[in-house]
Amino acid sequence: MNVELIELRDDRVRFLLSGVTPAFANAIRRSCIAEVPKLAIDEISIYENTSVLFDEQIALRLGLVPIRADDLKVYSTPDECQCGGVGCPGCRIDFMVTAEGPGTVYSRDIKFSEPAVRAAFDNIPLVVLGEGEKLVIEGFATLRTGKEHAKWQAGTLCGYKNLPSIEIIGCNGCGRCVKVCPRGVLVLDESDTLKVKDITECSLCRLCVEECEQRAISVMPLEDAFIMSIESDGSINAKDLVRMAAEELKKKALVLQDTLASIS
Amino acid sequence: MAYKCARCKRTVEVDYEYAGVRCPYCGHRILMKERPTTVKRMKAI
Repeated sequence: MNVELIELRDDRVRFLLSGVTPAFANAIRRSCIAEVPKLAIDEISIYENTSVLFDEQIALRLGLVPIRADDLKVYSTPDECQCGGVGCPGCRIDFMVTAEGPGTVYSRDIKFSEPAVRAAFDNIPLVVLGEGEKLVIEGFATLRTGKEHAKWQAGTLCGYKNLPSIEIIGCNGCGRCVKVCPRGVLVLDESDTLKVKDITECSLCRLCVEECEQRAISVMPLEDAFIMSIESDGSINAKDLVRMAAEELKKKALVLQDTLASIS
Repeated sequence: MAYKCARCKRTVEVDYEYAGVRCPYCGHRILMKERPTTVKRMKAI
């Protein structure tokens, strides 16, 4: 297995994963989406709401705000917590939102009891308050996985595609395939030799194959190499997200191993 | 039961079952129910 980084940003990572089966690449993708635990607002208590939105609409918007913690390892999911899911500082983080109009309530107005926990983005508008309208909400956030609800989904845009392989044999340098390629993958260099500029941009459309009269170019997907693109919603760094996804897969495999060992 | 008059915005106490409902201060017939003081607890889903 080989991993080669293509792009690394805070919220997105693209890398080349080769020497693995499609099942493994898919497992990483699914794990990023559904198995990595993240913080989100779980339950709320509304003391006062004279805004134009219903209580339930504000509750939905609060639940979907991505929450970032400096160190997620301090918290545990309610199933794994020592308190048994009843509620303790290890599995619940309390917050409060108090606002009075006129003005807009943003995600930065959500005040958590822990200073290390805050909304991932400051400027998500929650509700617009008019003159004299008040909002007083209190509640708590928990660490859960995307399996339970999409608000706990850490990886938002996770996908992969097979790495294409372009073979050029018997090219006469006419350049028609270069013009027809919609992504600009092919390029003719100074000596009129056809070269591939960036193989990761190719979408396997095969317009170049149809255009070539010499049938010199062939485009095939590689069966065991994938370009993975993992994007996080802001609550976890993209690199940590992939690492945690692999950890979760490892945990599942270890549980399977122990269960099978105890059977035999 | 505490209600609020739609016109003069004063709190009205309606305790009886007469055929016509009227604000005692301004005579308006549309009353709005006040939000109950119980804290509403719900899942943020």
